[in-house]
Amino acid sequence: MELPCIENLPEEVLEFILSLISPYKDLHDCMLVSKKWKRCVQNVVKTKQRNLYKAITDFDVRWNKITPIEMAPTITKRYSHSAAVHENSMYVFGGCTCAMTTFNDLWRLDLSKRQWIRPLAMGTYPSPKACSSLLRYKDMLILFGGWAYPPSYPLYQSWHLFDELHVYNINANSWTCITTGNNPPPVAGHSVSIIKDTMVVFGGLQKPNTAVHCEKSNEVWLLNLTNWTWKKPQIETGPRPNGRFGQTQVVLDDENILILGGSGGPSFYYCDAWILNMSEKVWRWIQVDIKDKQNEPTNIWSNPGCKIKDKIVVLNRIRQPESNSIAYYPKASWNDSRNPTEGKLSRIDLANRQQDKDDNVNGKRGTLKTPKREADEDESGSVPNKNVTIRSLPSGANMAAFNGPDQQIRDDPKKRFPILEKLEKFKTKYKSTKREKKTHYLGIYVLDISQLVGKNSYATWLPPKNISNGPEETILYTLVEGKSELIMFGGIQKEASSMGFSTNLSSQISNSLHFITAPSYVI
Amino acid sequence: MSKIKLQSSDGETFEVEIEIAKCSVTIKTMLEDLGMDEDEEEVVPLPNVNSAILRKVIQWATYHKDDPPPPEDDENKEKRTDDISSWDADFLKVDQGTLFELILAANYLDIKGLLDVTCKTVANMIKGKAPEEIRKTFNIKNDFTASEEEQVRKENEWCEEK
Repeated sequence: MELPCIENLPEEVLEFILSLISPYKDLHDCMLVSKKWKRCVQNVVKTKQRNLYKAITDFDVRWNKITPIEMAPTITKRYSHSAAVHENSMYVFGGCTCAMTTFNDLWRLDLSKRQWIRPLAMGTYPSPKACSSLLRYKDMLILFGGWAYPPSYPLYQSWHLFDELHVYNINANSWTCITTGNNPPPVAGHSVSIIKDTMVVFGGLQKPNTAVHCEKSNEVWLLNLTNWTWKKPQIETGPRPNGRFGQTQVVLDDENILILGGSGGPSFYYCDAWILNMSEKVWRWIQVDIKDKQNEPTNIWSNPGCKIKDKIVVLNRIRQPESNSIAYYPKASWNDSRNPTEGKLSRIDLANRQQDKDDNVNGKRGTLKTPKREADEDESGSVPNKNVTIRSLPSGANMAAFNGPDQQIRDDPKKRFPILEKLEKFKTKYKSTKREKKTHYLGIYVLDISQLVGKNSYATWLPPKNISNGPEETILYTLVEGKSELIMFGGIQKEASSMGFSTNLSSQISNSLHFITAPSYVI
Repeated sequence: MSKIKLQSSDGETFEVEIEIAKCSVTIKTMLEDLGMDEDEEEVVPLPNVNSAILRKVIQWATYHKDDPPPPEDDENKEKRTDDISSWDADFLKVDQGTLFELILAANYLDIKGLLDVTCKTVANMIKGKAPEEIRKTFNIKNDFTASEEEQVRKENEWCEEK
């Protein structure tokens, strides 16, 4: 009798074996082996897609974290960067550090090997910037807009918005700067989608030349990707979304785009949804009726959503059991606690912004520590140092009246300034209360958009079923769809960033990868 | 400890502890359905497994008899193929024919743990190989024409079904 070979295995066993193979390059290679293998790979892909979709609708997902290994070349911690997937790679561009130093580097994550590679691209590089949009179109990545803070000196320069348009050609590994006529004003925090050969840009922060403050835009701009020309579509007058930035935008079909959430400024967040219908010559906005708002996430402006078939996944702080009831989570009280992060897009004290303490910021190695910073730490850490200043008053200049019997009291600053003592006590107390802060974790929230077509269209926030904890609450990361997984990268831990006394801010910015997958299945 | 006799396709009988035999869901169901009395000198025929393979299967099951049952839903556990224990890795240092016979036996006898570890071993043989290398490793005939192969190469199997 002939010994069995792999061809003797039943197809379901071969499919099980193939389901253990990385869904990226390896699985694609398997498809080329033979017709039977191709059929099996296609079944595996279908099952994996179905499983991810089911896991999302059941809220039964697995979180797998990859922290970059020390010493291996790895991407710097960052937030407000942009990401796009092309074949077996995820590309990440720009973003910024905790001190708002912006990057213009491009990294590629090999999704098969889970390895970071920094392609050294040719051509004209984009400016260092954050909050840009990055989208894949054919074998290209389209990078548009963004913002950057100017250098620390001279002080109080306003921050900079970009209207730059760059194309990264993946095969040629090169950047091209595209100059266009009639382009939209500089913008950041906008949202983009590609339909056929057109890039649709909506909203964002704009700063007209004459204005002092930024404006939240609700404009729609179209970029023709075949001849690189911009135009503004004609849109019916009538109700339309308010100006906003940081919203989620997804393509529903060739004629409809959905926008969801966004921010209208500090403490002003949207949870509404609008459809931009492009079927007629004159486009129109349709507001979406959203049901089951008690299940809605509290933040859809710094947490990008991701579309999986007819569901939109948004990561958000997991509700505490007590607020999981029908009682509506009061938005106002929640907003109060997050003000510090808003500095990102509002004013910031440039003179006192934090230093980059991360290793390898913009290619530098080692820890950046300035003497000034250490002095700051000492000052805030121990009050007795104030003595130095007090004692160093030129004693000869002292007036006779002060050389009295209370000289000793004056030398002991605590007695002389009882308020200092109180301050110190208060500081210790304040520090300890801050540390006891509760940690919040991210979980998934799901908006069902299957009922968006037809006359009585609506969307529904699904009631959470299982709670599976993700990482600590993070914002301004990227969330993109890979093959049978969602990939979350980077971001800043919001809770931590409000801690005024922390000295190691770099640890609150992340370069971790989180993969959201379906639970493993058996045959 | 009560024992049971298993008979391979080539007529050899093996006496094994009933608890070990029951790691095969097929045998377990058979015993339950048929209400086989443990005291009787019954012989369970296994026409799909030859003696050489059955011996290996029993060896594997005996070693793993005290393993905790696999958790129904292993929380946060990524599907990995690099977590094969060293005993299993040694146990599976066999020629391809034996490996595939073990897979077929594990599939027929419904022994999840053995099927898992044997399939992972095969998956590890596939990983990182180009299509031509995979064909060579497993002696698979390429039934694509050159143009079909080129077509498949361009295909994206992950395109969303609409």
